[in-house]
Parts: sequence; structure tokens; C-alpha cells
Amino acid sequence: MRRALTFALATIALGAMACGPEHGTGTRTPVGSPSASASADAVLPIDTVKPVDPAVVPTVSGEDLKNGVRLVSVARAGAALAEIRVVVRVGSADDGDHAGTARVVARAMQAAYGARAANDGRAAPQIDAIVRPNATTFSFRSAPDGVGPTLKAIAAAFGKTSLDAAETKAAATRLTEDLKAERANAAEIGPRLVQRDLFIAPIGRHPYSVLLLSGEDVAGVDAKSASAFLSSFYVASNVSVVAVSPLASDALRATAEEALSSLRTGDARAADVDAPEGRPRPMKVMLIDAPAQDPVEVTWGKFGPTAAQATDTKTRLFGATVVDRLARAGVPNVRFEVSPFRGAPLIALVRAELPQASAADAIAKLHGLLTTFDTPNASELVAARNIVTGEIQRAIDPPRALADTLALDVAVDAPENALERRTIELPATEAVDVGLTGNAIVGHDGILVVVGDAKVLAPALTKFGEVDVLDPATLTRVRSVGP
Amino acid sequence: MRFPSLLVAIALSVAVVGPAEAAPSAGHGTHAKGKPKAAPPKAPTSPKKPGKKKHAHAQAPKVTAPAEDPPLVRPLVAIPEPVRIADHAPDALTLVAADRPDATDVTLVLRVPSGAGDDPADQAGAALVTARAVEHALTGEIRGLREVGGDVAFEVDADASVVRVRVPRGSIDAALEVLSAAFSVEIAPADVDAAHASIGAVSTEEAASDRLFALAYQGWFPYEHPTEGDARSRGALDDKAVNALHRQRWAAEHATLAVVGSDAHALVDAIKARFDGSPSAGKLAPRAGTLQEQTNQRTEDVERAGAHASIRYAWALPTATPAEMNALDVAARLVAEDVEAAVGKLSMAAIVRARVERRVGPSVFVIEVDLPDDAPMKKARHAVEDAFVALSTKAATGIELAHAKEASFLDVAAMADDPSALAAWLAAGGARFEDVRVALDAVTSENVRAAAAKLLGPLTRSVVVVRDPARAPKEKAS
Repeated sequence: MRRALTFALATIALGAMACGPEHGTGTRTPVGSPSASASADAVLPIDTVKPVDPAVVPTVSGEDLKNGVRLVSVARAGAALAEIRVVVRVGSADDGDHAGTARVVARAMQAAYGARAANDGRAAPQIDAIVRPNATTFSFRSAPDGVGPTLKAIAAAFGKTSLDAAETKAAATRLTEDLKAERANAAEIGPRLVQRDLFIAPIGRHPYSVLLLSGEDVAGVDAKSASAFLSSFYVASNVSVVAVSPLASDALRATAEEALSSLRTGDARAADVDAPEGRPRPMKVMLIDAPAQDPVEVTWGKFGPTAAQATDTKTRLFGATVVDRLARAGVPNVRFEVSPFRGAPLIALVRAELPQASAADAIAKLHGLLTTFDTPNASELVAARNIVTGEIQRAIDPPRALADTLALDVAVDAPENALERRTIELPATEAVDVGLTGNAIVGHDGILVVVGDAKVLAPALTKFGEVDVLDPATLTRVRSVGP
Repeated sequence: MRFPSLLVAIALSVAVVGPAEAAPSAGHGTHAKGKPKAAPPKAPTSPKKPGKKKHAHAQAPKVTAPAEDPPLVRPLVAIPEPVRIADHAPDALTLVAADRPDATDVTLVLRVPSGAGDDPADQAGAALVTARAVEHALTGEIRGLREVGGDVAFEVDADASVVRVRVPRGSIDAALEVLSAAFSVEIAPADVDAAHASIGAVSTEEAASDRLFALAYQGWFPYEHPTEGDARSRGALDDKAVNALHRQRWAAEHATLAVVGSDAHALVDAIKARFDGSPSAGKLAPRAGTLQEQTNQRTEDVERAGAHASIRYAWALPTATPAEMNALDVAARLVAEDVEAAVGKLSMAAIVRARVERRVGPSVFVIEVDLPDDAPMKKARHAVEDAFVALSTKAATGIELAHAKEASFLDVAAMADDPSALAAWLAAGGARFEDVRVALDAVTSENVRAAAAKLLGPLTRSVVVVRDPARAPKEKAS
């Protein structure tokens, strides 16, 4: 796992900053000791903003197909392949009484796709699926002539009227293996716990908090509930297709129109989640006791401002400022992400990967920067704008990243021109805006999750408050350590 | 040893299930022209002459295939070939560029022949420590790069150290500052300390992979050890040793810099102006070691509390021809599905990853099978190994083969659209995409069967079985 974090993620971050559930700031590079070297002060003079070149911001087209499917597309004439995302705007928040239903159905759809694509050599050999709270996104890449056959096979899979017991069990069994890997992934457990514990409903569990499924959960999903989910939600009006491809818009529309004509019709799923207030929560510190974990994984999460879309750029500039300040303080392996949700505030995440030997010192620095936030000075603002500019450019290119960015926007009902809006807002956002936003986010509250050696780290973490030490296998509290 | 880099592993792996985004990076291509040091992506051997482009758009019949129709098989579709520019900087740095008119920024990949396979025999981990020390020594320059909107990542695999940079076009100076300083920087003791501290513990899964490759490469030192080496082998690496290794390996004359962006000629000129001369580092010492012929299956158990069950197989491929390597790429796609189905018959779910990992030295074919923690391992193993046998005895159907080839080629073709992957491909001496396409298209079921029969036999494989003894069921000895 450690090597996966230090190498693969760093690389993937370069290639696809926006392919995950969040958009990020910063990177995960291997070296990360707070002890800065002699050349650390040899910083290039930063006196100019390098704005995103408007010429490279893609024109995003949106149109409705006859059966209600929304087609969101970007034409890339020189691209070799088509990157397609089929977004079904239902996800884990729609599980209802059976946690895991959305994921079991997505698994079953992958299997059904394979059976239906098996006879056409043009169709993508497989489709991937990611289930988030607001959407289930099926993705594939294909040669241009494979778009139609692949969409057709997906539509045929979605068109199943029910799932039988064997299909449901097979999907649940495979999913169990995924869940095992998810729980074992130290890099991913932090964001999941943050999301779980920020979305606390006034009574019971909030739909967005259902993230840490167990094998028992998915084993409880029966064919009846899976079939009901499929037939109710996998309908044309819930489907958007995001395409970044060399196909001309007319050809793409005709292809999608024909391939998806067999989709069921039905009512669109309303965004009816019980949105919690973006109210501050008392700081909760969780330390998952994993003595061998190196580097130490740190995740700090807070709700962003309530009007998520309006303040998205300000939040990103806040995050870029934090990342830059930490780098200047000798903690370079930090990145900032936002997790947007439909009908609820986004979550702002600061994630750090710290060498075990220096983690305690770095955590002390994190505490200083995450409990107070000073309005950025002119130089910091320029750097933050540049950092976010770089992120936007990496979200535009390669096509895979652009397709993921657009699919994420679709999932949370963000405007289809959100990318363009961000590029316009960026140079217009002033330091005072960033300062106000940052001050609304930081403070002595939120969720902090650390995976590492409790003996070494617990004392450092008490700066943030009482520390709950969790068992790494069960994630249950084994003891508390007071300040 | 984790090789190639995980990115490459991801690019070539066949995740039969799961939401992983393939990050295209490597896997197919010819050797670097005139530079034997570069990692050899696929060496296509085509019975057909390239240039006979088949435009499948035009060729593909207009068929809406209902299930009962005969399978639709068509040739792999040709993709646009990036225009490449080859050059040298005044300091002998090899430059290769690809013009990408619609690029939003500039991507640079520096490939230095300093991989784990180059580690001195008693200093396993030296390449990694050196790369990380360089990165730490450049903390200020890297921060400067990020503050103009750029990004950088350092990686080390078995054959090379690689620095990937993306930067807005107007800020390319900041990128060149980092890359040129990577050659000239003096590494301080604090940088080496930080590099050592950055190398953490090895997980059970990584330990299992390390053992697998140690078994597969037994007798050939450069690929036997993990990239990290171990605490003892790294112990002797002080700043003096690291600086010596850095001077020898991180020299412009031995390195390749690939750049992808719009107006590539102008980018090349900018690079040449920056890399304007440095002292010669001398010739690189050749690697030592010979891969011994394996005549018995080698098996090891990795048993640890909390370990997740898996079975991992590897075959070193010292005698594989380029054509056979292509066939094995296709075989990896086919066998992954077969293994999953075979394990499924035991009412178990398996996550299967199969891939060919290409190296400058002998490459390796890897299959990893993740199983439920309470899986009966012997039964599962029999099922998995039966699937291997089927690979060499049963011919794939036309449509199975077509899907396997399509999947393999899509990973390569995706690099044409991804500036970071394309630059890495170019820096490693990757072949023209058209050559790869033609070579893959030429693979037949018989090629796959024959390559599997020759190269994936039971006596030449290495096996590592991972489990938690507390969770694994008791099984009778077979």
C-alpha cells in the first residue's frame, strides 16, 4: 500500500487530477520531511498570475435526447479514443433500507454488460463502475466506432426488468471483495470516516454517511430490493451521458439516440436528501492504531460554505493557500480536495502523507495552520491562483480527466459550464474573499482522522482535542486520550 | 521488487472487476532507437508491413447485432500518430518531443537510467534513495514550480528514475529549473536523511510481491530485490555514496527528456537553451547477473495475521521473442477471465490481475488472484492452475481474441490522448502506435496458445501464497 501511495498516486495525480471523487490541490510526492534543505528558500519570484488560457477551456454542449437522456459532450477532433461516462443520477444515498443496494446493482450491471457486449468486437471489453452518494457512473473508453455498440449494450443491461437471486448474490459476493480492499486502504479510510461523521442526521443516519459498508450489509441486499432499485431508478430521465470524443456532435447525438433508445422511461429521481446544516461540529479526532503504517495518513475534513457552487472557487483558493503555506513550513506532501454533494455543502479535505519519523512534528504544524486562517497576502494569492489554474488545466486534459470532471459536475447538478465559470471566477476572486471563506472553514471543529502508530502520534494529536484510538480492523474505539 | 512502476502495472493489468481507471503508460512498443538503455516497451513483430492503414470506421459493417447474430470481429482501429521530433541538447541530453496542438499545458518526462536494477550489489535501494534525495534537495525549486501552477512527481522502477512535470505553457522556465537542477544539485546530508525517512514499512501485499519477483528472478541479481532494498542494504548510503551514484547516473548524456505540448519545435528550442552543457559523466557500467534456467516450480507461503488471501504467479521470460510478448499481452487478458470463471465455479469471488511487465532485462508475466480470506487455498489453486493449462491447450474463439486484443490496444491508444503517458512512452523509447496496432492485430489464437505452452509452463513458474493462518480453513494435504 505504501508504495502505491508514494508512486502510483503521485503519478496518477499528474495524469488525472480529477479522476477521483474529489478535485484536488497539491500532490503526493514521495519525499516529505519537514526538515527543509538549504535550497528550500530558493523560490522563484512569483509576481504574475498565469490565467487559464480561454482558448483551451472546452466548449461543453448539453442537449436532451428524445427519451430524456441528457447528452453532455465535448468534441476533441484530434483525440484517438472516445471517453464516455454514463451517469445514472442515483447512488448510495438512494439505498433506502438496504445499505449497499446501489453498489450491488452497479456490479450486476457490469456483469450484464459483459454478456451483452460479448458478441461485438467493437464494444468496449469492459465497463467500470463507481458508486458515489449522488450517482453511479459507468465509464469506458473505446475507438470511435465502439461508442454505439457499447452504449447499446449498456442500455440493454439497464433494460433488464429484474435481477434474479443468483445475479444478486454473484454481484454481492464480488462486492464483498471490493469492500475488503476498501477497508484495508489506509489512504481512503480517512475521507470515508470524515464523510460518515460530518453527515450526522438529526435522527438516525444521513444517506450521505453510509460509506463503510460491510460484507454483512451487502449480503442483506436481496433480489427484490435490487430489482426494485433497478427498475425504478435506471430510467432514461436519470441518465446523463458525458462524452469527450473525436466524434462530431451530430454523429455523436445520432449514435447515442439510437443506442439508448431502448432505455426504460420513468420518473427522474428527485434530489430529496435531508440536507444537514453546514453547522460546525465539535472537533472529533480519530486515530487508527496501525504501528506499521508508514507514511502516516492524515485527513482533516470540514463542511465548506453552504452555498457550495457559489463559493467553490473561493474554497479552492483557500485550499491552495493552505497547501502552499504548509509547503513553506516544510510539510510538502499535502493536498486539498473538495467533495461536492447534491443539495448539501461540499466537504473540504486536507490530506497529508507524512513520514513516520517526522509525523508528530508535521501534525503540530498542521494544527497551527488548520485552526486559524489569515487572509492571504498578495504573493500568496498569486500562488494560490496559479495552483488552482494548474488544477483546472489538468482537469481539462487528458480527455479522461475532462470526462471525469464533467461526470462529477453532472452528478451533483452543477451547471454544465461550471469549468468555464471557475476559470472566470478565478482571477476575480480577491484575497478578502479567500480570507472570509477560509475563516468560515477552519476552526476548532471538524473531523480529523489519522492512520499511524498511536503511541507516537496520540500526544501530538491531543492539540486538536480528545483523541479516540480505534482498532484498525473493526474501526471501533478502544480508548481515549485526553489533552 | 515492484516493477515496473505501479503506473505501468496499472496500465497493463487486467482488472476483470472493479472500478479502476486504467492509467495508460506503457506496455507496447519497440526498443529505443540507438539507445539500448531505455526500457523496451513492446517490440512489435508484424507479418504485415506498417502503412497499410485499415480505417475501421469505413470498414466496420453497419450492423446492429442482435444476440443471435454471428460475432462481429473487426481489425483494430488505427489512431492518429503524434508527430515526433528527435534531437539532442548541447549537453548531450536526448530530446524527444511530440506536437499536440490542443494541449492545455506542457508535459515533460525526464528518464534517467538509474533503476533498482542498477543498484550496486550491496546497496539495494540506492536508486530510490538517490531519487528521493534529489527531490528533497530541490524542495525550493519544486515549490516554485507549484506556485506557478505546475506539478511534479518522482518515480523509481526497476530500470529507471523518472521525473514527470506538468506546467502551464507560460511557466516552462520553472519546469526547466527543476529538471536542470536535478542533474546539477549537490545532495546534502539532510537530503539523504529525509530520503531514508521517506521509505516506510512494507505491507503484506508488497512483501508478497517482493517474494514473488525474488523467486522469479532467482539467480539474476538486478531484479531480485525490491526497489526499496531493506534497512541494512540502505544503511551504507550516506551523502557521499549518494552523490557518487547521482554524478554517475543522473547525467544529461545518459538521460532522455520527452516533452509534449503545442508547438513542440519551440519547446525543444527552449530546452536546448537551458541544457547547454555539462561535464561528461563517463560510461555507465553494465549490469551484472544472469538469469538461471528455472527447472522447478518455486513456491513460498507468506503467512501473516491480518493478511488477505491471494495467490500470485510469475514467470520470468528470458527467451520470449517480441512476437511472443505480444501474444502474452493478449494471453493476460484471456487468462484473467478464465481464472475468474474457474474460481467462480467454487462459489468464490476472485479479483484477478494479469499482465506482462516489460523490463530492459528479462520481462515477467504475472497473475495475481485475490480470494476471500476463508477460501480453501488448495482447491482455489487447482482451479486457477487448470485455467493456465487451458490457455495453452484450448484456442480462444475469434470474439474472445478480438476483445482481448481490443482491451490491450485501448490501453496503448489511450496514451496518444494523455500527455503525461505519451511523454513517458516517448522517454522510454516507445514504438509508433501504428506499429503496435499492426503487431497486436496479427496475434492469432494459435500464437497465444503456443506462447503460453512455451513460456507459462508449470516448472518455470514461481508461486507465492498469502494468507492469514487464523482465517484460512484447514485443508488436507493433496
